Amino acid sequence: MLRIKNYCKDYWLKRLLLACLFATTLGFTKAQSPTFTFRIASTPLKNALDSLQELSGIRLFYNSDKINGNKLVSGNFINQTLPSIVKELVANPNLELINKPGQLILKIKDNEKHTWSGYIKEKGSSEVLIGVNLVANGNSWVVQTNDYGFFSITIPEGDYEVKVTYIGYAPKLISLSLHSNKEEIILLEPESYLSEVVIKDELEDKNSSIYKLQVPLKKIDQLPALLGESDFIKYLSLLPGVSKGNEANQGMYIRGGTPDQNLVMIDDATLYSCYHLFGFYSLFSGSELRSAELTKGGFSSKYGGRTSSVLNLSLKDGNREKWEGDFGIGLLSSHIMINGPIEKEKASVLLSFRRTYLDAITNSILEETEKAGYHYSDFNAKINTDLGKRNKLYFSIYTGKDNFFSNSEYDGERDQSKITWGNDALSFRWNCQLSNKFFLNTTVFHTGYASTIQIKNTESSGSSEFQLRTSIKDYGAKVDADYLLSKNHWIKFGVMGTQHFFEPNISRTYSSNIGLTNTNNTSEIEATEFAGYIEDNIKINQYWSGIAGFRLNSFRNGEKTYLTPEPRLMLFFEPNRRWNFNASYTHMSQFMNLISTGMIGLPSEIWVPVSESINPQIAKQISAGYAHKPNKEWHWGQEFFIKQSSNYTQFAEGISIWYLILSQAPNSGTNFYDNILVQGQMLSYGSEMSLKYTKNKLETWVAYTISKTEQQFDEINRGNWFIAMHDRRHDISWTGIYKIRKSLIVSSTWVYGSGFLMSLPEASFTLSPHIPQDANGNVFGFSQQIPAHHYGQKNSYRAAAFHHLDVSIKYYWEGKKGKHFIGLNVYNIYNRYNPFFYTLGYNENTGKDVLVLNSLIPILPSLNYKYAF
Amino acid sequence: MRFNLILLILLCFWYSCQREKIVLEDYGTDKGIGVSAFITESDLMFNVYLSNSRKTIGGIASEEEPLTNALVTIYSTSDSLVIPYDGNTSSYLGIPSPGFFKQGVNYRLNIEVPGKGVYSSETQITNYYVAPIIEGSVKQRTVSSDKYYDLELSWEDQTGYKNYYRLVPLVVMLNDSEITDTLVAPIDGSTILVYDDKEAIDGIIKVKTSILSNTFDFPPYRVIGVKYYLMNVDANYYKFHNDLKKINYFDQLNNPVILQGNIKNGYGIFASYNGASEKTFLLP
Repeated sequence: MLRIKNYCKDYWLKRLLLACLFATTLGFTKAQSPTFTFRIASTPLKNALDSLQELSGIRLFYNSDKINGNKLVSGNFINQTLPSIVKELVANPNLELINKPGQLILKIKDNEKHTWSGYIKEKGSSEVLIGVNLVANGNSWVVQTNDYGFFSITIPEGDYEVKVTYIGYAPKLISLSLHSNKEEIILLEPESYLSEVVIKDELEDKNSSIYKLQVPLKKIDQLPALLGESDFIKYLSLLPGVSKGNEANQGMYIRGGTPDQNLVMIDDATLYSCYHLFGFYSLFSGSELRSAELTKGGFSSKYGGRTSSVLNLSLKDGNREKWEGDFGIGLLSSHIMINGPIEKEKASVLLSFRRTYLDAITNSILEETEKAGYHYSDFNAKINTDLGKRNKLYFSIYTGKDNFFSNSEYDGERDQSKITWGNDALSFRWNCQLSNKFFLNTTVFHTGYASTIQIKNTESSGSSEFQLRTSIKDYGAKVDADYLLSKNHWIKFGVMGTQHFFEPNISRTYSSNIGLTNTNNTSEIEATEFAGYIEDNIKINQYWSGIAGFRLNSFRNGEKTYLTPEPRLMLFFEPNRRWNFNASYTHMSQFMNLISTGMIGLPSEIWVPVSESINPQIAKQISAGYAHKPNKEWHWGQEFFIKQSSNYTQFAEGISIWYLILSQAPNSGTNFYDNILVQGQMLSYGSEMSLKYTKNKLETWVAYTISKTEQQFDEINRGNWFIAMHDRRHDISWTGIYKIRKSLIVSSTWVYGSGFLMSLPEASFTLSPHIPQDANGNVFGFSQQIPAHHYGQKNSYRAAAFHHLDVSIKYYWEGKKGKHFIGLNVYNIYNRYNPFFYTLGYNENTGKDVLVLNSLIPILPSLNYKYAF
Repeated sequence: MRFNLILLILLCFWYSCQREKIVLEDYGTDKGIGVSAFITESDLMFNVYLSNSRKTIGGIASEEEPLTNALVTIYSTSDSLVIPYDGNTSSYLGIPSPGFFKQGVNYRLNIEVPGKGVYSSETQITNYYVAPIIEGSVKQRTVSSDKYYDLELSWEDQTGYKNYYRLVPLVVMLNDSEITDTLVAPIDGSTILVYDDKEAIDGIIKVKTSILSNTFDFPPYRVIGVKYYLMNVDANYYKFHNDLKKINYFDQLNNPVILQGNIKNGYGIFASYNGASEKTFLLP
């Protein structure tokens, strides 16, 4: 009976509830909306709505991201209507509820949009910061500062929590309350050298892909330094996908490309050579640089003219608040850098100078009759000033020179040789913020590169001399614009024009006995390059984004004009904060070729532009990759690439730099190179991997690249494909940085690379050319026997692998007026004989011909000291 | 001073850096012999030049290790000719019977070397026309005490065929005391001049050569002219010798030249030429 009563009670209750809900669903009827009692505590909003849906029997439709479904909600609702409960839970003034039979739709009305823009600068120096990430709460939008530290985004009005992160700087959380257009300057505090834990990089906060690498310049001093010279290129070579040539060649080999295929820019001016001391060091130690970013694939349409990578360097603007600087002493060179305000908060200047003293040392060791030496020097200067709130002017200059000389005197005979080479780069830039959505940069630039090899012999009977000179000069201008079309479309476009003046080869041989014997003066070549580009950085939705771009280049040399269209496409997919994926297709072209025969970083290289018969290099690259960050400590990334290049240019078989010097130049003239150069194809493919671990005092990472690079020329190796000389099948690097205590850092690096390739004679034999016979069968005279070497397949011999382990210990302390850094470095600690070059020789003991591996740097300890104020 | 001392020690370390030596014999495979043989219809004698090949980079292999015990035979479709060692460093010499070498016939060269193996190659004397040499200018210039002659000549390239040429410049010397006594010698015995018909401009191939007459001072003989032989060679010969002339033995930085031979199991070339036109330029 009781059960029947209860049943009846439940029955009637349910009937009543259904009736109420029915009344609710017929909301337009006069019946009152049903009410509910609902209690919830610290539950994600979307779960709370699900419970409410179950309780009410009314389906709730909503977009979890728009209503911030993960936020935790609590509440005690007694006899309240469903809309009332929902409104309180969602707590968004833009919530609009739409009733439909059996349904309730939660819609967030779009707010009025406003633009938030400004600059991000370093606290204490007002140095603008490039590539800083600003990420809104819930990853609802991300924006990055451009090359001038400027950012801009148009978003619905509201309140946001924005996390600002930048490599080597303390992350900053800012509350943005956007109810009208807003401009602001955000200051980021640099991590101190003396912080207890290792300097965190962007991986702490952002799951980065490895196709684009930002060099943490502040970390360079923490790594082992060869002869005490810090070098940012060394840091780059520890990152995935960046291979070094060999011990004496800092040239970067990226994704099968050669060093000349890397576009290196300093403050928007191109550098044609960025190495000193036959390739040991780059032009910049790092302390004068504000940022260095290397892109290996998925290139922005802004960049062109090279096919392999883009290394974008920016000099520091100079501290606008106070004077500061540093100087360092190494075994090889010293440097000094100072920067400070010309007018506080408005204008600043930076000056830096570096020079070796190797020549002074060698001169003091060598005899008076035998002098030899080498020195290099760099000078950087940058001045910038604000012109009002929206205009800035920058003037940057770099000049550097290498000078090697050798003089010897014996028995009245004097030999002098001299090799000089150097770069100049100069740029004048005007930044103009036309509105808070439109940023414009205009650059006028000049770049120069020249190298000279001069050898002179003087004896009593006369003198002889030969000289080879090659140079390139560029004068140009460009305009780059950033326009924020909407929150989801950031348009970049621009135009540029450059006038090139090439002197590919001026060789002169002189003998006083016979007068001027040979002058091979390939006349100066003038070429004009124009380019225009446009690209859209598109945010498709919360997970997908992309960059679609197009660049059109034109290059004119003489009567010949080449037009190269370059479509570019990148796609990003970021399903969550732990994973991201990217894929890209890029089409690049290159109008000038660096012709070189060796791996040694001698200035025996010549820049030659495309011509009537030398076509531009075209490279098409497809790459795809992912990055995974399972937790705060670990980060794993991998990229796959395939790159096909056509019209890759090399010396023909049997030609070398000495041919240019010694040949009688029968075809001298602008087409001289047409006869000694050949063009072919190059195919590279491989994968790059990176594994990084960061926790408290330890930071360590491993980078591994496996790749293969093949070439084919109709005129070389009988037209068959062969492995490129610079093919680096395996490239591994390991880096470890450990902070023992606040002021003591131990670091170590180990690099391994497969050996470079070369061709060895497999056999030598003798030939005898035939002399025709006359009608009686008489041959005329004799024929000289000719030795011939058989090489088999080209590049069939792989040199020994290159590897070394370096360690360093650095001690930092703060003095009264500044910071002191002292470092003990040991290069190649297990004294590996790495191949520098090979020669063919003869072993007298065994009586056999041998291949001799010539090594260069054994175990090498060094000290360096730096003082910063 | 102490600093310099440290650096000096470092430099010593640098120079004393051990070098690894790889014995060349341990690298690659040496096939054993090099061959140089060249046939034509008009040959009254036929030379095959053989040398031992070796993994060495210096010296003339055929002089230091002459190959004297090879059995060399050349086969036509209907006949054969054994070519014995002639006692000179690298030369095997045979006298073919009249009509042995004919146009359009395939020839096979077979070389058996005891202890090494059998090497062979095939070629055909093709039928090409060789145009007469057209004399161009002859100019004299003196640099210091050296007397140079610059000569220019040309020939018409026959269209419709793929042609390769070899030009042999020979110096002609006259005995002043005996007017009928002349000597003819190669101007440069180590350089073989070969041309591709791609070099023809408007159907004409022009060539400039130079001779330093002082080098042929051989009293009582004096240089009176330059004699040119123009031969139409086959593609194998052209490619091989065109590659060969690119080799610069004194420049280790150069891009190595990959020689293209046609000797099975060995190195070198067995090729043919056909027809030869000749022209003597008298020097002023």
